[in-house]
Amino acid sequence: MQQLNRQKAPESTKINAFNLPPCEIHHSKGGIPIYSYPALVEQVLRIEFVFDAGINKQSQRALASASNALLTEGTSSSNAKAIADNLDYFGSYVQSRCTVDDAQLTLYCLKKHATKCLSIVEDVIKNAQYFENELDIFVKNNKQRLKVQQKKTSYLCRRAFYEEIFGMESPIASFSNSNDYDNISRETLLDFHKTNYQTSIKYITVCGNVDAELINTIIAFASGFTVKNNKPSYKSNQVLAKSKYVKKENSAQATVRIGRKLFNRKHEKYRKTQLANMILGGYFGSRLMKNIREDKGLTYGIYSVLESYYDDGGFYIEADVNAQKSEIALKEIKHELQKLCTDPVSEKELNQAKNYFIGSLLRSIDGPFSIMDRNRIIIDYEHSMNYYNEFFDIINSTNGNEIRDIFVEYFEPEKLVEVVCGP
Amino acid sequence: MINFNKFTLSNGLEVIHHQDSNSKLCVLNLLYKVGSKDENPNKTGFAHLFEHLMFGGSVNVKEFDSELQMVGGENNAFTSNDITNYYITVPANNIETAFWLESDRMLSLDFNQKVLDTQKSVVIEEFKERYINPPYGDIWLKLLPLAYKQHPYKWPTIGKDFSHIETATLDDVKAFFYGFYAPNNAILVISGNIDLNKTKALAEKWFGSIPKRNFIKPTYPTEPPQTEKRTEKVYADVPLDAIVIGFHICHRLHPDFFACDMLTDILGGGKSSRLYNELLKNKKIFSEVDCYQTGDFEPGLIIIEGKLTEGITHEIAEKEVFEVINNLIKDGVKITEVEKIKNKTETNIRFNDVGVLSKAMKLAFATYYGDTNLANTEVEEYLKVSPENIQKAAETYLKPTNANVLYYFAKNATTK
Repeated sequence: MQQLNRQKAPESTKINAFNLPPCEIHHSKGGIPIYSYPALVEQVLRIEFVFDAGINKQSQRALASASNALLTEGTSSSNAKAIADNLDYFGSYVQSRCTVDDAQLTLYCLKKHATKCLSIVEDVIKNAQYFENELDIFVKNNKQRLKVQQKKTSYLCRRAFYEEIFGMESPIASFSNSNDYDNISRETLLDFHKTNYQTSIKYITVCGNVDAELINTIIAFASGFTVKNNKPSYKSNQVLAKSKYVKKENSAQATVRIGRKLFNRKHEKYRKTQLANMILGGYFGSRLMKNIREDKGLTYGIYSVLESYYDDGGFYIEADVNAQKSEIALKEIKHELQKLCTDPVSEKELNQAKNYFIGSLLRSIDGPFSIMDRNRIIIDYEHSMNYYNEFFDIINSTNGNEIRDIFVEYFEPEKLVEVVCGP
Repeated sequence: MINFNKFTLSNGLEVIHHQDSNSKLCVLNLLYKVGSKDENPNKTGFAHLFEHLMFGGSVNVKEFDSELQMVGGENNAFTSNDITNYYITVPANNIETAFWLESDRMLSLDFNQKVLDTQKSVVIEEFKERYINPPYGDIWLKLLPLAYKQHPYKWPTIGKDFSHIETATLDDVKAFFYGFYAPNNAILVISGNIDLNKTKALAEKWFGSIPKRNFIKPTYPTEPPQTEKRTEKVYADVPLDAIVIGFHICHRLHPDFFACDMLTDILGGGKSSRLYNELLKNKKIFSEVDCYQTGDFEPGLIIIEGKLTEGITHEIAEKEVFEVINNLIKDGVKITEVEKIKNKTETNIRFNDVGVLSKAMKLAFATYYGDTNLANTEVEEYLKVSPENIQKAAETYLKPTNANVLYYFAKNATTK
């Protein structure tokens, strides 16, 4: 028998394509798009109701998130407890979520209970009452929660950073203060609900054990609503680089964030910049991880992120670091950025990042729910259906000089805003 | 339903195979039967520190991560009180790379001083990031030694103290490796787009020649039954007063376990639960309240924790919690309440069975518990539980003499 050679890597295959399975599109009579992805899974369904009710639509802070969170806290016919009891009785879950660009309710349920759960969701969307007692509890508990957040260096740093790079007026930097909660009234909630939830939906997604009958049920559900999808506009101006220190007494670590305002997914260079970001701090084999964590042991984790919103975008590097050595960490981060601005990355490093990137795309479409999540990026940014299918060629054709050029153009240390929160 | 095949190599390595031809991926999940409960009480946090060292190079492979990233793979690991679990996800064609890497570090590590020194610093930063820096981060550092006096669950997985991590030596690392890392102390799960024959061939090729190691099967001191309530006051730089109560429960394979798990859902599992409605919504005692069980293999804890509304004292909060518990013991649980939890449990389990990685972990844990098919029969165990079982579990475990209570005082409150 041949001796096993453990020194040598076994044969491997290069992944040579990436194809995102497309979702199907149906429309309600009122024109609401219904995206579906049927899959051979057990009796589970996930249905997302997306509303044009994001933070960008609010006239005062905390309003969009409050109106979203309180949807399930009572309607004209059921109180909060009855709604929770009914949903729970069918073993279903309803999650609410509010982001800069939209707001949603997500229903997770077994197929056999879909019709009953849909009628609960319909009642909530159409008849939410925002009762005073529920609002009081929400306000009081959120003010308490905010006090806990304000004790965290990560929160204080993130907040200061977003306010710095997007400006206080941007919905991306719309953090709530204690008095913002006090300023929310039942009337403003009912008004926001009437305009943004009661009669209109942006789109619906449904995935899991989907068949024609279920699609018809959803189409019938949506017939009671019209489509509302007003493109927001909130792009802010570029802030010139500066640094800021936020003091947090007695903290054992300092949170550092370095970054800038940047383009979003619609920009032609976005995908190549994602690869550049991968090399800098996007995965465990990145420059920042290797230096700051694996060589110097200054942090448990350091990463860099490209963040995309419908009308704006950002980039940042973040880490919680040893408070006594935050200066060294900052110096090393800048050193890594500078190196990437000067020397093209080696073929080996580039290939490793490319292969990892394509592998991560494959992992991100394992199962129907994640396939729908990827499709939603295409929907939200109005990309062509080929957006992900082109990814492979775009990533694969990127060379070391292009990566260096991206760093020179966008990520030279002197172009970045630096915020530190520590002792 | 997760279909699986099972076989054992001559060196004692148990192998579980699950084929999912719809996936483009394959997962290699390797569970070692060693956790923080196996640590020397003077060297706590070691199992977890060791997990970090497993990425620092093995006897034939210098760079574990980059070899894997080169073939499009991703990996990670976690340590609990009971086990250490390593997992790799790769495009299915490249699963052999995972076998190569994972088997080499079972064979032997590089035992490198520089790697040890760096990972000690990394783990100390992790300790601070998760247990020191965030408000209430030290709950487990306080609660576990209050609840456990003998059993090694008395320290958290991260360790009792930095100093235990700082003093670890390469000799400790070697002793730990040869004491616990071996084919006959591990469970290998291969899940994804791969057939049984290929799984058998690769398992034999890469793991088959690793020798069995002899070691003593560990036993753990039994925690003596608690006979009176324990209370500890903690003064910390936290913004709100809080209360945490831990009750001892049964071990994972005890017939009461599923009733205990459902009991936590009835008390604190979401917006229709009793603690949420009675104490957060109606009486406004808490601004946040939760109830869950720790999910350990050996006898674990049911935890009830809440942040107090301003003006509410710890004594009142504690009394109110026990009133909710006592009402449940006195009046029992409604059949609709139990139906609800059963339905939710079924939904949860079905949703979790979707990805190849979660299926792999589920099979690994079920095998660790002693029966791989528990991954499929667990639902039935929940469905068998009656309202009386839950009422009985509350009566047996949620009594004041079995309670370990932490009163958290916000710093500004103590200076009044």
